[in-house]
Amino acid sequence: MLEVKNLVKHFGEVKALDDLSFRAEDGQITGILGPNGAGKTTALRVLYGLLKAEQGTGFINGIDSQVDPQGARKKIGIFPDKFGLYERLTAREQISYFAELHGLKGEQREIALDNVIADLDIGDIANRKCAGFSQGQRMKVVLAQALVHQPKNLILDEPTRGLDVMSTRILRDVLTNLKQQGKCILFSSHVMQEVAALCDRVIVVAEGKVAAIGTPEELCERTQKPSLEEAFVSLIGSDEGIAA
Amino acid sequence: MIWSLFKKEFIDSIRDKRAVFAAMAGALFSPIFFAGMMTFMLEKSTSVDELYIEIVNEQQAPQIVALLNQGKVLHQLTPETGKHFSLDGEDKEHSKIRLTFSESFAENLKAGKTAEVNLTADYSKKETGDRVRRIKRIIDGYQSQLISMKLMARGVSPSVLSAIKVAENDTSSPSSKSALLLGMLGIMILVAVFVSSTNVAIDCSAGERERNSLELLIMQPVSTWQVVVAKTLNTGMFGVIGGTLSVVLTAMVIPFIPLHKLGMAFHFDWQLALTIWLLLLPLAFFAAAFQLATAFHAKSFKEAQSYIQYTIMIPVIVPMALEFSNYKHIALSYIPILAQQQAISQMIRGELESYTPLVIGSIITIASAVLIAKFIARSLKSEKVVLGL
Repeated sequence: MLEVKNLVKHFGEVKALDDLSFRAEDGQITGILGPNGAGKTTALRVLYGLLKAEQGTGFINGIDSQVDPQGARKKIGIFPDKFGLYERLTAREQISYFAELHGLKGEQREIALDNVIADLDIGDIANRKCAGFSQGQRMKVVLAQALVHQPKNLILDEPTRGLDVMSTRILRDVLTNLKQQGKCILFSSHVMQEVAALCDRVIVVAEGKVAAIGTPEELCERTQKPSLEEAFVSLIGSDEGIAA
Repeated sequence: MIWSLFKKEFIDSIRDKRAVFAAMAGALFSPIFFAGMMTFMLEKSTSVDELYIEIVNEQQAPQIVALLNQGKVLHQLTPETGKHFSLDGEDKEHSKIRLTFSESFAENLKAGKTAEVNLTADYSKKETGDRVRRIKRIIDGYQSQLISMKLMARGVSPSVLSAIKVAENDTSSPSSKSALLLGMLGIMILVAVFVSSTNVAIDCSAGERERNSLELLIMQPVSTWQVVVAKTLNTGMFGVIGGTLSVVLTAMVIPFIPLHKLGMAFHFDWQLALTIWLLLLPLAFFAAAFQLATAFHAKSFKEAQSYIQYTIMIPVIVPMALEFSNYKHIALSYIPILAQQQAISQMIRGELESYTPLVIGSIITIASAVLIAKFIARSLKSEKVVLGL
């Protein structure tokens, strides 16, 4: 379970987070929807304990990430918005590195590697260097390194950015599968379709604040609009920075 | 955990062929360059070139001609075009200087009258001055001998001719002449340590940030201290490899430099090489931490490269300035970089009195490296450094 409470954060004059609170439950896919610059990435960075909030805190499975960031991070897998693979390592070495960072050693690590490589069907590229991988292959490696230690929580930041249709479908299947295993999945996006198709709950964020929370259907009902896109526009009062 | 981090950093760096090549080149370049420069300088300072001039009426002054030949000033007809001519199949250069003894030279000399000799040369050429002086010195030498003998034959002491004698005393001993050069050698080994780790340092800091993997790494359950220690160890390793190559190559190359021509007493045996190598170990990790700190605080890969270009001047300029100014102070033996440079230059000269400053200097260097690493670990907690804002 992931939770942020009353986050306040400034970057210079700009108020990035303005008393932001939300939670993501186990066995659900929760989407954070907001225009570019709404504070989604900043809120996630505070949740990892990477940024210090001026007020408020983040909890990962009840661990305060502002107090014990390392303990909290052990409970999550992160799928970042920019993939940043080590081009000179092979896919297996890359995943193995992240497994070790999460404390997996020796045989335990090798078993975890074999499992995740089989789950994501990347056996054919496992021993190739990451330089030259397609965007879809990169996505799978990044997903594998986020899941290799079998975290209870998975956080994805703009996961489908730059992915082709096939890769997006694979990612959706993986997420649905993880949800059924009872994991807590939180992902930020500004792509409406993706959120509507996947999420059980949507948190609409605008200008560092929560504008609305609910299922896609609830949001449509509340705003009396036929589609999530229309609902979203009416909630934040503009359609700037949103992709259909 | 540090081992896992280090292992990955090392694999990542060793597969970066550009960084490895740069490290090797940095280490190999200095000893080879130094040996080449030394050999060139020694050849220049010890050998006297043959000077070809045209001597007209040689038969008028056979003794002077013999003296000139002794001083490697040789007769050769001026070539009609250009200044090159061939001698025994070899291409030689003619100075285009002509020395003409007058027809009555021998006669006048015998009679005690002034004998005339003409020296014709193009004085506008810069090398002519030296050459003319060389010829005149030989003729003057002959003249003063002749005068002394003539005075003695008339019962006058030749010392009446020299009311004042300037006695020149050259205090530069062979070893102090070589000291400067040997000091340079020490500096070059130090520079090798810095140069070999530069690429790795930039690549795993500013480079890793630019490839978007630094932020993800920091998001994992590791402390920034562990990350920095692993990166410093890896970068330092490359410095050690570069320093090792440099020391080994220096030890191999030095016997081939004709230092004996200058009468230099110069010890560079394997025991000395090992001591220098041990001194380089703490320095390599200091250099690593120092360069990592610089690169992490740059906004981009390019900015890091230009900053490090400047910081790498420090191990060159500061010791060089001290070497030239001959400034000495006890504190210098304890400051990182200077401590090693002082110790190496003293050891090469055989002037090292005690190992205590070496040990203390090394401990201070290691402590400084740890402090810098702590500083980097702290700065990696700021979004400014992690995100390059």
